[in-house]
Amino acid sequence: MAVVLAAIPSMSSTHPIAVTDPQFASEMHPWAKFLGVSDEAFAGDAERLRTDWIEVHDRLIGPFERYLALLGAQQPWGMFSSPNRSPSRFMLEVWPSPKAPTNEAASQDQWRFLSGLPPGGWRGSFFESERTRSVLNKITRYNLWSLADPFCLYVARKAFRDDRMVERARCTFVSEPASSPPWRTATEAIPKPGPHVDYRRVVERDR
Amino acid sequence: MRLIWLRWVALLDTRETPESLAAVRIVVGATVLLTLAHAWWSGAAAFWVATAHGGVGASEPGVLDLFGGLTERNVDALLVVGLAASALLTVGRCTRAAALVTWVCFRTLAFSNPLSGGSGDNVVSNVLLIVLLSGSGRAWSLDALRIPGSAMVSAWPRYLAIGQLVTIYLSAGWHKASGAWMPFGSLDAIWYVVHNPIWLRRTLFFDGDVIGRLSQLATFTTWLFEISSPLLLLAFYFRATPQRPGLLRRWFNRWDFRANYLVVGFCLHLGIELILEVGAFFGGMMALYAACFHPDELRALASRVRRHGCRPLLPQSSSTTPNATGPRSFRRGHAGSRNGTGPARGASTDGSGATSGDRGIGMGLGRNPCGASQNYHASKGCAQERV
Repeated sequence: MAVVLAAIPSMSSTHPIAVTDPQFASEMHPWAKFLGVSDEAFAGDAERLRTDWIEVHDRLIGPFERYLALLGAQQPWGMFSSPNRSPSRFMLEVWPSPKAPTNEAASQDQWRFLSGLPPGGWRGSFFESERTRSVLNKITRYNLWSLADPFCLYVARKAFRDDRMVERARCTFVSEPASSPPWRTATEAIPKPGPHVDYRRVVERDR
Repeated sequence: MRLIWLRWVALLDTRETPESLAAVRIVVGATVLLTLAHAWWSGAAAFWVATAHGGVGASEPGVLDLFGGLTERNVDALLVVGLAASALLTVGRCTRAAALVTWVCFRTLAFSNPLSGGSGDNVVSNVLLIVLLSGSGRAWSLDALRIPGSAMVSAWPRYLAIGQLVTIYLSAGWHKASGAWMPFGSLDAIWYVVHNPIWLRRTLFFDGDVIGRLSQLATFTTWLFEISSPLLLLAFYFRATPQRPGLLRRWFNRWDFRANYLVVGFCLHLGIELILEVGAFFGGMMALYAACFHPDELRALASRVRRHGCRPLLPQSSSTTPNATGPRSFRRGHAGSRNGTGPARGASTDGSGATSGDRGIGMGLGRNPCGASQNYHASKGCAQERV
């Protein structure tokens, strides 16, 4: 019974439902149209339902969740429930020269890609691992950029250890909208914004 | 109310031979072994070490709090213990203790960093708990070789595993209640999943109108498959009560809804596994799938594999898998007598292969399909076995 109850979605990690939400047009509007109500009324009712549900869920199901957490039998099954329309890539690049870069734009070509996601040749199995992917996914999905620092420092340390010529390492998270599905691009001409650098950090070798 | 309670007690009191739970144990044990080994050699075990000790962000030490926290040495030690315990669990040596140690090690490591885990860890952790509470070491194990005679174990851990499987799918289906997955929406969830480099195993070319429409179909099918999982419970109930009337029951049993549902699910998980890197999820789910087969079916399968050498022969459907009409070697010492003087508890007394538990309400997955219903008499498997 605890398993079944705890598996009921809580919706506590969902965003408030509003007409101004960019996702509203694709995910809510078709339902509002189907039910014959205005977008504003539908959004208001849906948001009220969401907040009421979170309150009821936390009060009634919370104790079962704590019990299952003790047993290591949590029930979080929201797998791929919210597709990421603007996925991120991670790049680890190294600067092999002892001379520091003076101008970022000019030195752009001299940074050498080492690995990342998609994985490169260096420590490919580490980056291909589900654990690494999961960490990078959560950092980017929930904007946990403070947690990107320990990850960046860790891979930079490994890069310095593996190659004594490397003086600097640079970690970059870049997000870019995925290519739109063909049925959408055929009907709506949506301009696709370019890649956006969400995080960048340069780590120098500690002497 | 009292009748319902008595039926519930009878259901939970059902006993059966342990092959299904043994299969669950072997699959989940091997999954933990591979998961821990992969974390070690790929270097991803660094996510289980605290940042202060040279790792990446682990913060929940669990039992390692007693030994100095999430240091590299502690994590390595726990990995070694976990690898050894999961190997023992897989082969079934000191099974109960091995299950306990595997569960503690896996739980401590996998949940030490809230960022580095996924649903695969949750599935495996849940299955390990079920294995720990079951008599899964009484068959297909080194322990079973040392204990003479047959064994009957409680069936409720297997029912719990089936319930867990249905719960996972149903909950996932509810979570996906959005336009990205459902009709009247964009149905573009799978399109975006296969365009996300974070999860893709390798860069694939997914483009074009046909691929786009197929991804919409796959999106809707996935959601429908998940949200319809309670029908699996209904299918088990109908299999257990084939003698009762009803068109729906007859249709479910004739079409073998359970087998077809599991085949679709297997294809779904195989597709996910081939395209995306989702860690231990495939292994954990397959362990739950193993629980969906009655011990009689698995024994029959093992027998057919033995008889045909190494050529695996999967049953086409449960209606073609014999149990009591199967080989004598399986009936001997399993569903029969413990001491040779009489039938064991829950064992067949009429040769039909249906155990006492099978005659109870629901979830009696081993109702002999060859002998119990007219619908099954013409089935190919039964005819073959009689030959």
